[in-house]
Amino acid sequence: MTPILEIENVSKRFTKKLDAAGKIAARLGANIREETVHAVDNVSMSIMPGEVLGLVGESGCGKSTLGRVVAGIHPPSAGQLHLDGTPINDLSAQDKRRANLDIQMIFQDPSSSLNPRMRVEDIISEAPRMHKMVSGASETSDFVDDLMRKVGLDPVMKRRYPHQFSGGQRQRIGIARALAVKPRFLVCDEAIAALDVSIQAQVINLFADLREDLGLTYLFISHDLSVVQHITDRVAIMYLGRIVEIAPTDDIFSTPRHPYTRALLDQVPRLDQRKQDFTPIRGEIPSPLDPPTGCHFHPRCPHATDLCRQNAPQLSTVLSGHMASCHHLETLGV
Amino acid sequence: MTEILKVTGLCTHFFTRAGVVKAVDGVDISLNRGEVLGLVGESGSGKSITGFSIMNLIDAPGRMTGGRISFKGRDLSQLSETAWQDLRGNRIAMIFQDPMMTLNPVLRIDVQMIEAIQAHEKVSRTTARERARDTLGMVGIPAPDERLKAYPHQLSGGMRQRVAIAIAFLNKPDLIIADEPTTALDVTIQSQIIHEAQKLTRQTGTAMIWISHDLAVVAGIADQISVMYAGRIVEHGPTDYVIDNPRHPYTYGLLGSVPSANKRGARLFQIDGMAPNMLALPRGCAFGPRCDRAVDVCAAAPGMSQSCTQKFRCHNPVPEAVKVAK
Repeated sequence: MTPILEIENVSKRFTKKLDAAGKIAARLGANIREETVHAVDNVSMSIMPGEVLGLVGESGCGKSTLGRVVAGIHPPSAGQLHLDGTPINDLSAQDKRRANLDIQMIFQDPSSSLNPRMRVEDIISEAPRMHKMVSGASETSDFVDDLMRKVGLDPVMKRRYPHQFSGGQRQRIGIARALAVKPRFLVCDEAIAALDVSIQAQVINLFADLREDLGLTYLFISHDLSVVQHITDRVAIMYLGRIVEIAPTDDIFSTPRHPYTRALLDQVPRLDQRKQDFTPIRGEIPSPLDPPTGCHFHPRCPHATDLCRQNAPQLSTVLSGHMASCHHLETLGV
Repeated sequence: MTEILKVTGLCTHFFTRAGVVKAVDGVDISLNRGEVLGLVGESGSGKSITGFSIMNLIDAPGRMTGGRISFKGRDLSQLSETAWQDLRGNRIAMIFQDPMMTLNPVLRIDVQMIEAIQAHEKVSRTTARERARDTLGMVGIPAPDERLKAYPHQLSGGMRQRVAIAIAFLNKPDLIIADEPTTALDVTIQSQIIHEAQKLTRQTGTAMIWISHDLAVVAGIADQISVMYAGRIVEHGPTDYVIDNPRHPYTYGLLGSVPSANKRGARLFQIDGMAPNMLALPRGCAFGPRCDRAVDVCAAAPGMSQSCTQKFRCHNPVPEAVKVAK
């Protein structure tokens, strides 16, 4: 089976250009350089049709940037994306447009990603009208009704504005908008993080239903490990722009191999863990402007050696489908 | 056990142009020395306003309209503003969700910490500075001497929150109210902060009210849990009982909707509908319209019932034998 989406050696760098004063100062010998953030650093992975891949990491690790690259919002600085085995850049203009529609994104904050001056029906129908997927008032109206029902909203409310809805309902509008162009692949960037607990469960169930009904594939970006464990088939753990471990969900939660994954899993608050004394992981995620040499995780890793300080480890297969990047996988054991 | 805080029938209402919002409507809290109470609820349930009311930080159009707050046996309702200033930051301290909001961006950390000490105690600058440094060390800040000289913007979010916690602990208060202190932080930082807070309450005997929307976090730190819904405490009891054997359908639903390892891939239990409009609360039990156990009597507001383990406000509680699937 060909993967629906293949990410091949994708990097994304952001450079802060010097302003005029900075350029002059640099010319005069001041110690000012252009600053580059390696938000995503040589990431490769593939996603099969119908799969839910979780992308997990702390804030600032580059998971949202990778999501945006996948959704076509940022062009990658290096590397390519393949859709159904063909590089997206090699597609004809027409196919490329279709490819862009195939991958849609759902954002974290539904109130800032919906235009407050547009009615819900216009928000949902704008893209399909532009792409001539629907035409005529009655067809558009039926189309919007149908989508709203699909995401659990009452079509009676389609003449309303976003501010007249609650947070959970707004997120449903965002989902309906993404679904309007009949995508096959959804990038959900912290799509439930801003919602209340009882509403979260409603939206998680909706994602599961849509996956079954429409055969969708998801890239599910989240920092919430218990949600990721619930909804995904496979999980990729990201640290400072690199993937440190990727494995089927059951494997990663039962036998994590990378020290960072292990630390992360220990820290997740769980209902069945009460008042226990755990020793938290040391320190914080370093600045991506000035990442540590070698393995990015070594300053916080209890097992770090000189090798880790000098050489960056590569992702290597530990079991079929389970890859981790650490120099000490053998010695650390399972 | 000495009782530090006793709140009975606390009511805080907001008199807005659109009507009266009963943000807190008859809340009871009792807290002993060194105890941690988890106050759980969704946004708009009144949990933060409860915290602000205890600190007497309610602004117009809000007003405490009823109830009694007694702190170490002293009634707080009659206190003058000067007496409050003496109390706040000294005997009762607060930690807020966003440390950027509580720290002054134009003052160095040491200035802010020394100010907090000298406001309540006659000590020399050097002694105050030493105490500030020691407290920073206690909350797990590496190289506290250098951090003292930093401005808030030079620290990361997790560090800033630690500084805010250090300031709260500076005068060894009897009570700390922590309002969603880890919500804006990453999981690894969150567990570090919970770890430090737990250690400090144990060391100093400070009682704490930990306000959060995250049941899993609260389960990890609290001795007792109060669950709030629409301005009222709907269930209260020791953590183990509330988490393992909730009696109120709302608590039961909340716990069921938290994803966990054993429910993987299965449909999550969901509470339908959304939190009620506080201006137009449903008659009777506020949770009634969303409740799948609602019966006819729910049209009348339920009182607090008491079982041998916990208290709950429900006419048709979840039977004791029914446990939450985890």
